[in-house]
Amino acid sequence: MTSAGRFISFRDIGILFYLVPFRIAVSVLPVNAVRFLGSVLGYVYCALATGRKKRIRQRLRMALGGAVSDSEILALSRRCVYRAVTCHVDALILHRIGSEALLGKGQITGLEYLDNALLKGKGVMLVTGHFTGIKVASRFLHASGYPHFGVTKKREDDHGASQLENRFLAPYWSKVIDRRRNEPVFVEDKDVGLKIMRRLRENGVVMIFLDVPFSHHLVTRRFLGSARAFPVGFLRLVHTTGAVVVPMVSVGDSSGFRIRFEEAVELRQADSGDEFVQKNIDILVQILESQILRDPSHWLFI
Amino acid sequence: MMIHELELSIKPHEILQTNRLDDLFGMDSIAITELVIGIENEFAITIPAEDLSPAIFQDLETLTEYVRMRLEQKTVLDAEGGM
Repeated sequence: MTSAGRFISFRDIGILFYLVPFRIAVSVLPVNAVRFLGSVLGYVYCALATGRKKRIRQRLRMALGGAVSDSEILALSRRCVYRAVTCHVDALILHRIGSEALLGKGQITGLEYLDNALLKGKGVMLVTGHFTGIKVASRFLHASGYPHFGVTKKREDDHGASQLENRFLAPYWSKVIDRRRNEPVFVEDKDVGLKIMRRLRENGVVMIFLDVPFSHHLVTRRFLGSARAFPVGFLRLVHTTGAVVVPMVSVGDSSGFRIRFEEAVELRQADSGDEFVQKNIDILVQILESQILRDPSHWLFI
Repeated sequence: MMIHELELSIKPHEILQTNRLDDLFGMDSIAITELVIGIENEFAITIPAEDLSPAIFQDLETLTEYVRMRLEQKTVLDAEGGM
């Protein structure tokens, strides 16, 4: 029986704890105390999540090959699991930190690539993956005056989740945590394409996550040692709008983060949208792969 | 034009019988953006960012009315520019 058929699962207990008592505690405790609490929870989860660590070790081994020792793989898998917890805690802390205080914690490189791309006046697609600092990056862009939104998937459409999670917990999570971020745009929205196009025509920024198949247009490519589906609907939009594609990586949390903007991708031109996708998706997949290999323990979807 | 831009496998009269364009596009919102570009190229008009909303794409009648209005505006602007 899949978890989608169950009414409740063990995971629901953790989510319920996170959404109610923990979230309320975070709203009253000093930020440093919350960070300490998050750190303790991270280590506890790391000790308990043996199955998850094993899966991560296998994927890291496939991705990194024989160049990395077993002890390094083990240490990386621990950091991955630990950060899977602490980034959720940081999502709550972020609500309490002012923009000015947050900007002081960041190390930003390559911002000129974003600015130069915007000078072309056709909008920018920031292409990235689910790294630890993605929520911080969104806050940074907002606080720095870049009109932007990220395109994401609705939390309540998780096929692997229990009925309780999909019907009650996920909508509540969206309401109390996700929707407090600016302008969420969901891939399930019928007008998501128009929303993206509008933002690009306003010479704004749209953040696209390449590491999840959130699209009706998908292609499969070899990625980190195995096959993976990639969304390519955004590339068709790049083809029609002439938007500039700028890769971005953000790692860390609200206590300290690094955002790196990379040089705009030189895309190969094509007559049709399909041809444009086929000519360019490999370039973007390679960029994402190199971003992950540079900071593997900060990639949340390992 | 719509059939060509969206690579639809239907006949022109079937579009006229369809009340909602959503029925043609299904859930594929990227197709609507390709239609926007197709309309702009075909009629030499620009649809401003603020008009890019589902409202004008809800059905063929609304879309036709919108394009007609844009064409009229363009004609007036062209006439003023030519004076």
